[in-house]
Amino acid sequence: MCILNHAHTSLLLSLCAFSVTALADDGAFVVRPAEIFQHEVEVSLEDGLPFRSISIIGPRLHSQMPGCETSQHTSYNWYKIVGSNHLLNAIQPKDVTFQWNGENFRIERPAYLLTPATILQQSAADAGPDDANVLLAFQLSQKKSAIDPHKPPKARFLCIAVRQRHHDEIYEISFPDCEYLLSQIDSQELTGKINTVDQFGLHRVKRLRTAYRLESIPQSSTQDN
Amino acid sequence: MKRILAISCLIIAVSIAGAYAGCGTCDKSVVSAAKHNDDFKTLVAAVEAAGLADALSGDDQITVFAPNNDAFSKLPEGAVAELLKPENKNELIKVLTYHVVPGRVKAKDVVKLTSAKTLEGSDIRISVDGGKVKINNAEVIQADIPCKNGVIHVIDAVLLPKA
Repeated sequence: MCILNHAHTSLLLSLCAFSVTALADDGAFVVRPAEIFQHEVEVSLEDGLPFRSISIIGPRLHSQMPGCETSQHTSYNWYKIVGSNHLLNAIQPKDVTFQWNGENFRIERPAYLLTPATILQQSAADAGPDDANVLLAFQLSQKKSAIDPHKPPKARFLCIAVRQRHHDEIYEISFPDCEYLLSQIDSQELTGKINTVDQFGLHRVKRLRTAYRLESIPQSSTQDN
Repeated sequence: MKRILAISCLIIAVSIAGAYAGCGTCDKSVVSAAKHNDDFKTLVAAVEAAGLADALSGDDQITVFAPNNDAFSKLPEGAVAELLKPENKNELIKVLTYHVVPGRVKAKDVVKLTSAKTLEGSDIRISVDGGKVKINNAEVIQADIPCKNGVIHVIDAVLLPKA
């Protein structure tokens, strides 16, 4: 796992080197919900840190993530984090950088809350694993490429597991080492609708276009510098 | 850039009309939450006629598959009025308790079930059909309205227990 130290709710400076596993069939795509859901939830970046409230709206994206320590995939609904809130204010964007394939990145503020979702198929519900993590997608900014200064930045989000509270329900981190990197891809139009159920209820979304390629970050290939 | 962001925020603010923001029902019982929602006028009238309001407002957690007004309007003409008559109170109680399952069962857990025992005593069938969640033949059209003593899932048809 990339060493993300969250002491005192601040992400401390860490350098990590990643190798990633590309998953061609996985990715995140933009969706339009039939009915927009807006809510407040609380997240904690790790055990021992207090829950902090965030406002979310969506779903804005949907993705299939490879399972953590299982071959079973998990569907995620992505909710945009909106407004000024305690969590955003507590995280200093400049505090963490990491290195991947010779490129330097900086982890910025969290942009999306990803919650596991059950897809309602034609005749059954595709629930995925019961213990899937709730994730936060942190925005990435890319510094000048060490390999090719003219190469446009591609990496957009780093997804890490977080604890989350929704009313009286707490979603604990089942797999703390499970992380994902999302890179921008050329957009392609999509069709079709998806019906899902997540912790916030029923969501009917229309698929609009591809957005990000998904890569998992296996723990064994990660090392601190 | 700031101007573009400001415009984007305005568009978002306009487009979320009707969205569910915050939790206005968390501190209310399922009966109280239904009373505050005009979509449940017929259901509330039925619950009160059956004398179930107090029983469904206690501390025990329950899950209510709540037919909205449109659902009741799908019943044969005169059926609701007939059910609300005092002499049919037992039948009304039977129908209403057939919509209530003990415990707080959120939608993400409902879809993992194939049936559930109701307070009426018999089971309701739960299925996923064409990407929709069905309770018997009724469709769940809104899920997870959180209440102090449970959760409400809105359905588009009244469930009728076997006679």
